[in-house]
This record gives sequence, C-alpha cells and structure tokens, in this order.
Amino acid sequence: MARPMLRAIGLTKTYQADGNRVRALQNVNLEIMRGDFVAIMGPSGSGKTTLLTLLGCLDRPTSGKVLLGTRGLDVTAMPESSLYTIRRKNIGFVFQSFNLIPSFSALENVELPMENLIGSGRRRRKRARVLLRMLEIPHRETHKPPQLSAGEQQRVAIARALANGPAVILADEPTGNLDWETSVGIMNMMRRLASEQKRTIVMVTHDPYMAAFASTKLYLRDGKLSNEDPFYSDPLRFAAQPPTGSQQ
Amino acid sequence: MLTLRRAFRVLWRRRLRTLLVSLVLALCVAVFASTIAGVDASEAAAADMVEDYRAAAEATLEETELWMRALVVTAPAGPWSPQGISEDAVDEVASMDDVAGVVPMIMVGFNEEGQTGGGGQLGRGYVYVVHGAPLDPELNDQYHALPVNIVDGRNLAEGEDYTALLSDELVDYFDAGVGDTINLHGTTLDIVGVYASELWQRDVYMSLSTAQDLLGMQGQLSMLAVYAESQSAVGDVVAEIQSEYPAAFVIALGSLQSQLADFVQQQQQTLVAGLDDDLSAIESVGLRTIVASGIIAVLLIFVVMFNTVRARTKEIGTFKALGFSNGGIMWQFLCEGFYVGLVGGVIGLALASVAASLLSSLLLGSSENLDISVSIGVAPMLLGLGLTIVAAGLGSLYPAWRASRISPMEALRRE
Repeated sequence: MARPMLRAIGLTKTYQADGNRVRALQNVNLEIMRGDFVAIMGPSGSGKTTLLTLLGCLDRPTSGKVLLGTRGLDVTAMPESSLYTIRRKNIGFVFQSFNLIPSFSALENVELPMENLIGSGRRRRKRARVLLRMLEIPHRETHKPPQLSAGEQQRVAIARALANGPAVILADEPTGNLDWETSVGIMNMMRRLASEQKRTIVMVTHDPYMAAFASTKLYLRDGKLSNEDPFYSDPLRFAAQPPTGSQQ
Repeated sequence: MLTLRRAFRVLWRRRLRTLLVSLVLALCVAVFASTIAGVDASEAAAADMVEDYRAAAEATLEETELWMRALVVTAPAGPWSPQGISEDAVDEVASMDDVAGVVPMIMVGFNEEGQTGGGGQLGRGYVYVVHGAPLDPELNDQYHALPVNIVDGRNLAEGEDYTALLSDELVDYFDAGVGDTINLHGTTLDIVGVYASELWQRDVYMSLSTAQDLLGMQGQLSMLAVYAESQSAVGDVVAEIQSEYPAAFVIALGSLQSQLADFVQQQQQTLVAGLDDDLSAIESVGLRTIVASGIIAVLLIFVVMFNTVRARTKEIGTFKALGFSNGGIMWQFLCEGFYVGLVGGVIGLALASVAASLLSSLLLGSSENLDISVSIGVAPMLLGLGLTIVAAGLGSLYPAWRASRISPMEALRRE
C-alpha cells in the first residue's frame, strides 16, 4: 500500500494580532501522495499561506504534526538546525512574486540552493543549465531578473525550486502576477512535473481556473480544510451576499 | 568562498551606495590614521628637540673647557654695559705674566625698547646683542671669538666693516637674511651670513670698529676675555689685573661653568616641561579624535548594515526557504560589512598617505614649540587597517545576527 508523501495531522496555528487571538488553522488533516498535484483554494485570509509555511517547515504549528516523506518524518519535532537541511533537500518553494535575487543572473539564481549540496561549481552550473533548458528558457541564463518577463522569472523560480530535486514543491499563488496565457503555460509545466517526474506539488490559489489544472482540489475557509466549498461550487449564489471570512 | 562571492555581488549591485558609505568610512580611517601619525610625529619632534638641546648644551659645556683658564674683565658698570674699557688695556693685559691671550670684544644687549641693561646675555630678555669681535683669524681659531656653525652665507672676514653675521634666532625678528641690510641705531649693516644659534643666542656679530662706531664707543671695549697659560695660573692673573685695575670686574669663568651647567639644566627642564604641556594637549586631542573616529566608523557600518538587513528582509526569507542556515545568513552579512570596511579602509589609508600632514594639523592644531613633520608610517597604516576590521566586525555583528534570527515566514510576507 502506497504511503503519503506529505501528511498533516490535527494541524492548528494560532497567533496574536493586535491583542486578539487569531486561529489561522484549525485541526487541519491532510494526506498527499507522491506525484499528486493538490490545489488548496480559499479566499484571502483563509489560512492558505499559513498552511503552506507549516508544510514547508518555515514555521511551527501551535499543535499537530507535519509528516514528510514516505517514512513519515515528523518535521514539527525537529530542531531548527535540522529544518534547514530538510528544506534544502526535500522542499522547493515557488512564490507569487518569484523572490529571485536581483543581483544574480537566471543561472546563478538556479545554482543558489545547490551551493550547500553540490561542491563543484561546474556541476552546479551544468545542472542549472539542464533545468533552464527543461523550463524552456536556456537563452535567458545570463539575464538578471529585472531583464526577464514575469513568466520567465517564474520559470527561473521553478527551476530554482527543482534545483536539489525535492520531492515536494510548495507553490504560493504561482500565477498571481502572471497573465492568463503565461499562467496556463506554468500550470501545464507543474502538471507535467507531477505526472512525469512524480513530484508532489501543493499549490495555494484563489483562482479556480488555475486550480482546475490540479489533480486534487481542497478548500480552506476560516482555517478549516474541506473537500468542497459552497462558494467555489456555485459562486453565483453568493453574488448578492458574499460569504464571510476571517481576515488574517 | 561562495558567501564571499555572493556578498561581493550584492554590494556590486549597490555599488554607488557602497562607495558613498565607504567614502565616509574612509574619512574616519584617514582621520584615525593621520591623528595617530600626528601624535607620533609630535612625540618624535619633542624627543628630537630635547636631544638637539642636550647635544648643543653638551657642546657648549665642552667648549667651556677653555673657560677653565679664562677670565673676563669688564668695566665698573658691569658686564656687557656700554661704559667701556680703554683699548690700551688689551696690550697691557697681554703683556702680564702667565697671560696666553686677550680677546677684546664689545657685547651690548638691547631690549624691546632699545635700551641696554645689566646682567648676562642669556635669559635676560634681550632682543638682540651687538657683538663686536676682532676679525683676526688667529685669535678666532684659538679662542672661538666668532661662531663657526654658519648655516647661510659666510663668516665675517678680516678687515671688513659694516657687515654683520646674524643669529638664526634673529632672521625673523629683522625679517632679513643674507644679502639684506639692517639698520641698528642709525648704522646700516650688510648681512653676510647667518649662524645656527646655540642656547638661543641672539647676537649680531660685527667687527670691533663697526660696533664701536655703532655704539659711540670709539677707542673703548666692553669686555676683555683673558686666557691664562694654565688653569693653575688663573688666580695669579686675576690678582695681577685687579691690582692694576682696581675698579674693574674680574671674573674667572671656571667658577661660572658650574653656574652655566645649572642654567643649562634648568633651561632643559623648562624646555621639557613646555614640551610636555604641548604633548599632553596634542595627545589629549588626539586620543579624543582617535576614539571619536573609531566610534563613528563602527556606528556607520552598524547603521548601514542594519538598514540593509531591514531593506532585504524578504531576500533573507527567500534564502531561508532555500535552505540556508542562520549561520550562513549571518556570515553573508558579516562579509558584506567586511567588504564595505575593506573598501573604506583602503581609500582611507590612501587618503591618509597623501593628506596626513593636513589632516593632523587640522585636527591636532599646531605647536609653537614643535616643528612637526607628519607622514604615515607602518604603525598608523596597520592601526588604520585594524580599525576597518574592528569597525566592520563590530558594526556588522548585531545586524548580521538579527538577519539570521528573522522568522522566514515573517520575512517572506514582507513587501
């Protein structure tokens, strides 16, 4: 029986904001298999990004566990010093605003995560070139981020996320700053990564069209995860009276 | 190595800002190194001055060996007074028993008001002393009647009148040098040479006849320097002169030597005390300047690096998401601080090497007593370099530590 690549068990996250206790996530349970492309949808402030940062070991839950890999490694119990290595080897991040280092070329940005894993500069460069070719922007390797289009920057960011061959890719609104056509190209690329390379992809978005590219769709509202959401099932029902949602 | 390269690339992208910061830091380093060099140079100048004085005093005291068998005869009004001794006395004294030689001379000192006064030449506030000497080469060789340490022009020559040999202490006072003329009491003198003063002599040497003419002392002298055949004969010669000229003052210089030695020692103490005061003032200002420039350098790097960390919080979050450790991020910002320090240090030391003299005189002021020549040596260079390293390390440490402690989630949410 196949084991999940990523699991969240009773994941809860609360924090203080302006003196109020905000429950960003409430008892979230989740199982994602290897090669799954999961879209987590929800309105702004529903807890999507919080869930992604917990899954990506960038933050710690108030309670609950995150188990990574088929062996179920409990990353929430690990010290901070071990989480760097976990992030470096196992998780690739793709951000809405790309987060490329502006002073580095596309090639150098892709090389960056490999610095601590691959000692040889030549090997790092070779691998970075392979990734840029795979993402169909080999001709842009010497260009710096400001010289690239938004779509090209996101491709560089995806190549960087793939640099260390992570099992899990976490994408936070990866098409949020892209036009429709480019967004579709990026989504197709992520779908291929999941189906052909068996990467486990978790993408948060509030765009149902982009979510349609995913193999699984989950919904987050007021910090609670569900398999369906009345708004996304029938948005017109809420045209006159939008659903309530806590602000994060 | 990769961190160093990455830090360099980041700074290169912000090169204009980096350069501006480095220039301000460079100024701190230049001030720091120049001040150290200035204080060093002041101490060296003071030491040189004391050594020069000591050497001059020793030379003078050695020369006074001649004094052990010398005595001076002056007119009743006292030494260096214009009352005068008849020129006839020269031959009379020279013919006495046990007398080896007689040097006739005129020495009359004048104060600011142009008046003469009694007392010795040294330390009595004379502005200048009219010094008539025999221009007889044989006498001069034997009894040093003229100065020998000529620093400009030449010495007085036998048979010439209305020429003068000026003490270097008087060049500024008369605002005249070799080839110029000065007017003393209505008599014009051509300056033919300048001699280096020992123990602040302010004598204007000229021929005896010129001095007599200038002072209206025709046929008269103010002093006879009499040299006995031997030290043991000094007492007999004194007795003989006193019996011949009961009204004259006769002083055996041997007894004056110990007084001169005391005087020299006293002058040296005064000189050292004065220099100590000057040095204390210079060192006090220098220390404050050194500390201030060091603090400013550290604060500058601190403020710049602190703002850098704030401005690049999102980038720090990205690095953490990519798997960079806290230590790696801290090291990166330390390297950036180090580069800023290095550039500032190199520019600062280059600036100090060309403008140390100007900077140190602006910062430390000038001393009337000290002739200070400032140049950047190895020690100020190394200390300046040390400052940049310490400033870069101390100034970057907290910002770099803070960068390493930023929560990745908070950092990534920062726009």
